[in-house]
Amino acid sequence: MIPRHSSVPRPGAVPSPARAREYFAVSFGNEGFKESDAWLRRLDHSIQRQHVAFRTGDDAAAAALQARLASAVVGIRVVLAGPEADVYTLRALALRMGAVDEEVFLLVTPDGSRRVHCPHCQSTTVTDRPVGEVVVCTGCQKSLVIYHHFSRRTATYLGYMVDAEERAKEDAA
Amino acid sequence: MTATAEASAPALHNALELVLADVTDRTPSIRSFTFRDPAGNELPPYVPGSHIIVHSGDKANAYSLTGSGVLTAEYTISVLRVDNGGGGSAALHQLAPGARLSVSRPRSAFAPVATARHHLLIAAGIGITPMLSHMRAATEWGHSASLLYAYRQGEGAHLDDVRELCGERLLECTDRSSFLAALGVRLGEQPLGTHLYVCGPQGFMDTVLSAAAVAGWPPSRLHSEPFGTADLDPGQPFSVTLGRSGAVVDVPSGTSLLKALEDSGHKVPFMCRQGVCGECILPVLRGTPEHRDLYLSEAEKTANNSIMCCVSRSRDAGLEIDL
Repeated sequence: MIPRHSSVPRPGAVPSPARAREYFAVSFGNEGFKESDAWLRRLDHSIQRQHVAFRTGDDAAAAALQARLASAVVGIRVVLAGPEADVYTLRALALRMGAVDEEVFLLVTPDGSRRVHCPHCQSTTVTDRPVGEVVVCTGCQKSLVIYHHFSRRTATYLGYMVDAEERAKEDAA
Repeated sequence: MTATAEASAPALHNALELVLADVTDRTPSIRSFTFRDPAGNELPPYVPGSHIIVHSGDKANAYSLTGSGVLTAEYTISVLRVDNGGGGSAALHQLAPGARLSVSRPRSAFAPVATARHHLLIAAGIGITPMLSHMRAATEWGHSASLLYAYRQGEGAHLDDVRELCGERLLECTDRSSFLAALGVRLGEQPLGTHLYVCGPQGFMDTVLSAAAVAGWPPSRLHSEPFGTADLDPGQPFSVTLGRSGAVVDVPSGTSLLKALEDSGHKVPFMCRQGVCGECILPVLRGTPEHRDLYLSEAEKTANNSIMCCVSRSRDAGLEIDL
C-alpha cells in the first residue's frame, strides 16, 4: 500500500504537446517506441522532430540525449517514453543539462520493474517486486524493504534493512 | 520598477532612516539618488533585482536598486520623472542632498535563477535599473549574462555604465524594428538552461513575453518586472460577503475592492495599490475572482483561493472572503 503523499511516480494523464521549436524523443523498448511514435504524430506537421529508439536504458541512450542537449537552444522539448526507471534516469540527466520540468514530457510504460538503492553499499538492485516488499541487495546481500520513497535524481527507490533491529540485538548478545 | 501609490501611503514596517548623499542627472528626465546610513554603517545587503520603497512626502513608491547587492555602503536608485503620474517621482526629483528619508528594507521580487546556465536580460528605458543590478552581480560572480537594451535616442539612462559593464555582451537598439529583429534572433539562439528577464513598459514586456512563447520558451524561464501598470477598466459592480462577520460590502464600478473595504471600516494591509507588491492579498472562501493583478502566478489565479483586493474584482455574485 503506497501512501497518498509519497514520492512514488503516479501515472497521470498523457501530456499534451506544447508550443515548441523542435522535439527530441528517446524511447525504450517496443512499448516505449509505440507510445512515443503515436505521441509525436499528434504534433503539428511543421514542427521539427527526431526520435531515437533503444531496446533498454543504457549508457548509449544517455549519451544520445547528452549530445543533443549540449548543443540545444531554448525552445526544444524532450519526450521520454518507456519503463519508469529508464524515463526518470534520462529526465534527471535532462534537468542537469539545463532543462526545466515544462520541457520534459514523460510517457511511462509500466513494466513492473524498479531499481532499488541500497544505502549500506550504494549499489542498485533491479527487481520486479512491488513497493513494500523485500528484495535482497545484489551488492551486500542485505534484505531491503522497497520503501515508497522514489528519488527523481537517481531514479531509484530507497531500500532499508528489514531486520536491522534483530541484527543489532544479535550483535549485542 | 516604478509603482505609484495613492495618497496616504502606509507607514513602512521596520524602515531604515537614510540620508540622501548624492543626486546625479542621467538624462533630462532621469535622476539617480544615492542613500546612505547617517552614521555611516553598512546597509542590509540584497538579492540582485531587489527594490526599495521610498517614502517621499505622502507617497510611497518602489524603485529598483542598481547595485549588485553585496558590500552595500549605499543604495542607489534611478527615477524617471513622470509629470502626470501620482506625484511620487516629481517629489523625489525636488530633493537635494542631505534630505532624510524613510526607506524600506530591500524586497526581492525579481531575483536571478541560481541554476541558470545563461541570463538573457532585456530592458526598455528606465527598465534598465534592475538589469544593472543583475549585470553587476553576474559580473562579480562570473555568471554568463547578456543584455538587450532598447531606448529612445538621447534618452538612454546608464548607457556609460552598461557599456563599461557589458562590453561585447550588450546590444543597443534605438528603434522598434531593429529591436524586434534582434529579439527574434536572440530568442532563437540561447543555450538550453537560459532564463530571460524583462523590465520595461507593459506593452514592451507583452511583446517580449509573447515572442518568447511563440519561440517555444516555457513560462518558468520567463521573468518580468512590471512598472507603470496600464490603467484598468472600472469593472462591473459586485458585492462581497465577509466570512467572519457575514457583512456584505458593495463595490461599485470604478471603486476597488480595497477602497470599498476601507470605506466600510476594514483595515487591509496594502502598499502599491496596483496589483504588484502582494501586500493586500486576501483569502477567498467562495466565488470566482476576476484576477487583474501581476502578483499571483497563473496556477494561483486558477486555484481561486486568494485575491489581490487592490485591483481584482469578482466574476460572479457569490464572492466571499476571509475577513
